[in-house]
Amino acid sequence: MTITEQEIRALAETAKVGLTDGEVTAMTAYFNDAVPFCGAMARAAREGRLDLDGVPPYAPAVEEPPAPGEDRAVPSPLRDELLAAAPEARDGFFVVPRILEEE
Amino acid sequence: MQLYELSATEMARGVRAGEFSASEVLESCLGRIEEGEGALAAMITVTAGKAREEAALVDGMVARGEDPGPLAGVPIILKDNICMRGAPVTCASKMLENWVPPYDAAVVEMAAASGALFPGKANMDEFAMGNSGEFSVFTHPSNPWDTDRAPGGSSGGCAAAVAAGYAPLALGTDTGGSVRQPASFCGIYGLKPTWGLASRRGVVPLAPTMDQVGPFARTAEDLALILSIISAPDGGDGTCRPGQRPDYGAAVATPSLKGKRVAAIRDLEGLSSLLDDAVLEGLSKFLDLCRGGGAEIVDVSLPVTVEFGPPCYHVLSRAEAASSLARYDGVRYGLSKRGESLSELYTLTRGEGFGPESKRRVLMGTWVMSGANFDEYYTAAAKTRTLIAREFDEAFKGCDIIALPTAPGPAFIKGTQGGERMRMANLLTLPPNLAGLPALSMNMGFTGGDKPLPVGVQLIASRWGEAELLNAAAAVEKSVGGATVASLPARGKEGEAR
Repeated sequence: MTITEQEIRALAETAKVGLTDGEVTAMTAYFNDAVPFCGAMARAAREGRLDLDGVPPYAPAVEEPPAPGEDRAVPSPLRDELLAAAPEARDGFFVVPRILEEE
Repeated sequence: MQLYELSATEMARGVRAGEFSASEVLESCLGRIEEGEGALAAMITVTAGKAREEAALVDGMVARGEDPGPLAGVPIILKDNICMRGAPVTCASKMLENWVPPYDAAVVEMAAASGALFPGKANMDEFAMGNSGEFSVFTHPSNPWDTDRAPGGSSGGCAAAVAAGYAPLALGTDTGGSVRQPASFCGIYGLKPTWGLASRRGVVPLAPTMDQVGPFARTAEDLALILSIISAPDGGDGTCRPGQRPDYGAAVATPSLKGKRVAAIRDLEGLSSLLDDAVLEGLSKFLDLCRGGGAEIVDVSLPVTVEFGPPCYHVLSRAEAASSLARYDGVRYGLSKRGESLSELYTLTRGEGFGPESKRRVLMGTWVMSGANFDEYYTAAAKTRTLIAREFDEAFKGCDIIALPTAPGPAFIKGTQGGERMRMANLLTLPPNLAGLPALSMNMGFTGGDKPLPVGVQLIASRWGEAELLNAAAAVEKSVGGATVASLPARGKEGEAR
């Protein structure tokens, strides 16, 4: 399987990561080198060298899950400090570009 | 002997007894930082003013007859992905270059309440992704034993700092070896606790099912001291195990290997072409010392781990990194490049804020979780991870500790890693992260030549087996001694080191 620059551009759009043309070229080379490596497990399973049948995906073991905390509202003392560090804030909210068109 | 050369245990004992002050300890360490930084670039931010205030508080308590705690006056260096109120937490990234967190990480709160001082934040690979420190967007740290070489990564600055005597302790993070590999490169101790032992509240996440905060030290006793403090339960991290921890201090106070079963991994024999003779000799030396101490040497087989550990880690760590780094969107904190639309805000911010390795990991993580790739890559890796964890469960039925080299070789020359070599660099350290196990790296001597380099050995135990690791390390330390402080290179190498 060969991964093309066009596919890398589409992937970067999905991940919302801006790439320069040079970065697209380097990224494509990295993918074509690393993807066969990443496919080692499925390939070995198909070749019968690794038995994944019926094996559940790993989940970190939590032997003693913490008891759910009491559900209550507590004031955050950090609100003003966090907003002060924001790129742009107004009236106690983070500012983002408009996402809906005006009527 | 200078104060900076003391162990943390000796520092705290002296400060509590009034033999010397916390301020004197701090000034000795700050002097060392100033002397070393030109060549080492181990630090991103030095917080001398804040640390001096902390030292004055400790000295005030001692003067009033109060006990500041078991870390009284002990300077601790923090990796720059661990939040400390009032200082930037850059993660060595342009993305967070100017962000100052308004809170302390849980481990910082715990150490501060025990009398510790915090003189600064250490250099690292961007967002803790890398094994040489060379993915830091600021400066590239150097190894104090040979400044042409990398201190390891991603917590390379922490390891270089402790080896050079900036502080007797540092706190890093380990997702695939980021504490143990730099510890081995710099000739000191590094411990990755069991997943769930230490709180991660206030630590910038990379791969949450693998990340752990881990300490660096120059003696096993110091490692036990800091672990006993930072491993306190914390309700602020839902994955942090509640309940009592073992007495780690007791594990190093009366160390003994009698009757312990220490295992070597049979399957590594097939990988000898990847492993430097020096690290294999270090392992033999460790096993000989264990045998001499009354341990039984056995062997275990971990074939799935050895063959499929690296690709399994590659897939899962990228998937989790893509998810963890999704929070950097230019809206709430950090770098923000305003565009016309929300989509443009995200793309411009992340395009400019992330370095090359972050971009590679975010894209690969996105790719392995997309559409048909999910089963072929992500699910296959997640199932393989279950087999790896089971393999270790089985192995620990026949042994107490598994011993192996920490890294394929001693510290490498900066700028020489890439592609296949980089992928295999954490071959030996990533299995405990995949299986959630505790692992420790300790120094096992030096290579020959005119610039001898430290060689590390790694010990893995079953879950919650930190006391087992500390006991074994302390027992072997009785023969080989603790780590020594590296001499600083002559001044005037500033340009060269960076």
